[in-house]
Amino acid sequence: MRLEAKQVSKVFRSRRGGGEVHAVKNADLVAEAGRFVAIVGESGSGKSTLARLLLDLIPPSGGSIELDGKSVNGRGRAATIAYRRSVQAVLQDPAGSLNPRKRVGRAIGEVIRLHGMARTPADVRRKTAEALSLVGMVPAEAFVDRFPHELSGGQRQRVLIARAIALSPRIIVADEAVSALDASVKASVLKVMVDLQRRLGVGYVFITHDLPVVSKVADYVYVMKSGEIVEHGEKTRIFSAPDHPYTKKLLAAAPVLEA
Amino acid sequence: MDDVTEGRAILDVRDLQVFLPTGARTEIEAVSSVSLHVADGERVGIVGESGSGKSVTGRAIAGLLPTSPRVRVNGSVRVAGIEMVGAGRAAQEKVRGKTVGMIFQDPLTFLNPTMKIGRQVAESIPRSRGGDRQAEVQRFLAQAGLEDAAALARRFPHELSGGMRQRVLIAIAIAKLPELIIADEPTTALDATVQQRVLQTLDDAVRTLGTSLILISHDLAVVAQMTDRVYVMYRGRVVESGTTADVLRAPRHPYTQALLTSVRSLTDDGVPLYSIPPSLRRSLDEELTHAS
Repeated sequence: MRLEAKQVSKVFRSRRGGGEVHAVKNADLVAEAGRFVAIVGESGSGKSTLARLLLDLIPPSGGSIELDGKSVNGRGRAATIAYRRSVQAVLQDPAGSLNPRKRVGRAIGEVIRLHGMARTPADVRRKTAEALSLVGMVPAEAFVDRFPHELSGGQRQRVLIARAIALSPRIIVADEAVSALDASVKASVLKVMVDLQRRLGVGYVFITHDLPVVSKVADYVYVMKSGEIVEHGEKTRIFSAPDHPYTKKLLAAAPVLEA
Repeated sequence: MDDVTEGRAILDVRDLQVFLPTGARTEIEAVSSVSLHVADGERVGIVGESGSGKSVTGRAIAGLLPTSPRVRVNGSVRVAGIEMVGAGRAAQEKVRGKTVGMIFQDPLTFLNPTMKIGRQVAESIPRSRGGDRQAEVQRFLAQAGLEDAAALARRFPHELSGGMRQRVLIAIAIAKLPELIIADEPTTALDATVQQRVLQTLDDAVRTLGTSLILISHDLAVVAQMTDRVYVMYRGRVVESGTTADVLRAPRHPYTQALLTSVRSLTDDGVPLYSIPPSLRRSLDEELTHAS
């Protein structure tokens, strides 16, 4: 499965007739199942807007988002639901993405039922437990009856990943999914993600400002600045021989604890 | 006795214990018997994961815990030799007001959105100091690395970028010429390139004024760059302390060792992704419960 942005642009107009903001300009990007693709850039570079475009959460102003060669924008309900199943989102703020009044089991179970991944309550429970154990939340019974506020930040983030993978997506778009986490929790969430890539062939579009993490887990890197993709290439090449001055600047600024 | 007696300590904390309410009848011991000191001009880091009690410790020192009768503070916090625990609100403010400056992670919650930058900096300058306040304001904004200070003083917080706002906070903190600045995750919300500039600014300001610094952060790279000594906190306690170089190079406590391994595993290609095993946390928790 191949998710592509083709010459995609997004222009935001301010309400009171002010100027236009070109958040994303003619971006080309390819994501595939089984491949870990990263988009790096600083705040305001347009990387989160590109993520929302890829997820079909906002329509592009120009260009198109295509899944296996077919445009995903403006199609019927059935096609959109199928798309939602194949391409899942994990966003930064786990508290904001989880309904505080739903227990973990219900938050995940509902999605499984809505997408027809399981029918009977017993099957839904089994699938939910499976998803939770995939992200290392074992035994699952210890977590299904908890509310989001009864979990730590890392656990909430893992619930979001569990909910995403419960639908067996081919690609997960993760926007700053681990940025707010402590090192130890970050490492465990990344381990889960890399593990899913290897075992189930899940692909990622991993959006972050955290370059060291990208150098650790990504296969391919896009660098964004002011709405444009200024450089892209295999991870090893980007980190060993960056072309663009902006990429060099980002690499120089990345904080690393010297050994 | 330890080395506190050598030289004057701007801050001396002994057996600090803080209880915070978590519900109608429940509370947690957020800080348990923390002792630390900061000598004049010294730069000290407090590191730990979220929930380790590092921010609560910083707020307790700055006198910025929530004002609720259910927030209980025990032990001793001496700022410039004067005991803060149990002292009246007015007495505390008198000492801390002129001695301690604080910088937070999120400048927008600290800055007044309806007040121009210049006035917010001016408010931090003690009235007793006299002199040309406008000139002083611009001097502190410039010292905090902000260019065109005169124009900037007339702007509102929302007109500035995140990095500029954080430097305004530094200007506000240094304007009262404090003897101690407590910076709690001052650059965590910033991009790496901006982070470096803000850290440089803080570094210059502290150096120029000879101010002592407590830098609270989960980011060991930042603490390594900015501090001389470091305290490592876990579950409300200090588990290890020493010179920053020693602790980061040769950590003694199993928790510090695990924490460092996990930090390095995120950046070092040679170290596989490592998270602190739950079994280690369990044994540490047991040890800490027995010790207290």
